[in-house]
Amino acid sequence: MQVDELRRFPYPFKGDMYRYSNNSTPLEHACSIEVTSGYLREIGLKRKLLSKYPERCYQSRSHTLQGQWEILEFVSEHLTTYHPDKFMVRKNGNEWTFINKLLREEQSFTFGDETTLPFEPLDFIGRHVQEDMIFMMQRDGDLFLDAGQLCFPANWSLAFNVGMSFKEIHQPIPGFNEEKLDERILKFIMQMEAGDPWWRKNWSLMAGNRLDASIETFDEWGQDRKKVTKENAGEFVHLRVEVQKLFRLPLTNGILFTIHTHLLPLKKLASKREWLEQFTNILAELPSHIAEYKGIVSYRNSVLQYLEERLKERR
Amino acid sequence: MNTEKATFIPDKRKYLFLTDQKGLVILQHVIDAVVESNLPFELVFIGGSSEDETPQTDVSMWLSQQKMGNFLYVSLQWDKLDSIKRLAEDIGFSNEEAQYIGYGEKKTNVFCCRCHGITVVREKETSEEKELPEIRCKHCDLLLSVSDHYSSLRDAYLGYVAKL
Repeated sequence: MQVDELRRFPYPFKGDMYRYSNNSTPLEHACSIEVTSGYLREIGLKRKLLSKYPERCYQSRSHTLQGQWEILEFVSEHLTTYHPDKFMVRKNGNEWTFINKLLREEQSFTFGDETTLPFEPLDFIGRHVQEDMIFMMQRDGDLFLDAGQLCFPANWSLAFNVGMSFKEIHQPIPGFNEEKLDERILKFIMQMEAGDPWWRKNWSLMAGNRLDASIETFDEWGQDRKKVTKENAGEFVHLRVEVQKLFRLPLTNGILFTIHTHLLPLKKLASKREWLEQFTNILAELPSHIAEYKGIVSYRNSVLQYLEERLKERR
Repeated sequence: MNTEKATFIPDKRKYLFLTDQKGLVILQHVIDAVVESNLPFELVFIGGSSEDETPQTDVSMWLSQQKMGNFLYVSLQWDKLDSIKRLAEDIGFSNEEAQYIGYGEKKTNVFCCRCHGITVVREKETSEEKELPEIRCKHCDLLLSVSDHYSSLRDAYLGYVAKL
């Protein structure tokens, strides 16, 4: 990782302790996607996963097609506006040609007619961006996960969660319901308006460097948690940060939720003294129920020993 | 909604009872409350082996003819309850307009986190502790720890990796 990439890493912490909260803030640069230096590698991985595990990585309910077209248009607009050197859309009425210069791909289709695309609209546009994309539809005073393309999940299953309401999705998070956080965040999202997007950063630790930390493969990558030692933690353990952006879609009144996942080895994190001190304090203080849910418990001590040794070196 | 016990919900336009002989016993206190209050009601038998059984097509027609403000109570064996619940929901009964009380042996579907296969687990009604054991996915043989995370779309609970 280059110094510039370290500078760009979405370090998530403020203060010396962490608790679940609605930490969303207004998104000033109202772009749903980000194109990083890992674009080609991550798109390659995404497409491989989609091809090999379509059920796991893509789900949609039949009533979402109009919303999917809205997302295709919305994301295409961001790609061509913020990255005109990399993406282009030629339009002649409803006849569109989407051009991805990074991949040297062109796709012509009739907007609104999914039979002219090789995949459903959300699945198509998702294959051109590094983000995972979740589409939540609003009805009966609630939000429902009705479609999504998810290749880099942090240990959850799109195939299981599809169709669930907001609270049902978050039911496994300890304390979320008891503290009424689910209710507050739901209300907050329901009040979002088109043109005023929000964003937040979510974090966890990852033993290994897999972007694809799906629950479907937990029996494989979960084994890596047993391999963490204070000697290898610097290179082996990664801070995993999801940049999550929320957009109200004006036409269908749904919510587009994009997730861009970033990984930073602890060795790199420790190279910034401010981050090293802060993260050590946060990890040492982290309540057990949060550590348990984030899957850190079994190797938290090894990581703390590693971080504390780096701190001693710095003193 | 699925409940353990039927409760009388006052101030409804009409009360609808859909049940079998054993379910009738479960609903009796609600029926008594309705009768005592001199409120209108209809009672339909279903799912038994006797001649008084009402075919599902007739049930569908009966439910379809009901007006807004009517309240539905259904008490049947768990395996029959699910199909009637789906039928009522398709017809337009919301969770706030109905109570579903199952009895007998309950079957629980477990969704395998690895292969997405469904394994059916039989849960005895008499089981005081509703805790489900660890089970083996019948499709991929993974040992699963059954969670309380439920998907109504899959009609299943999520099974996590039990041992790493």
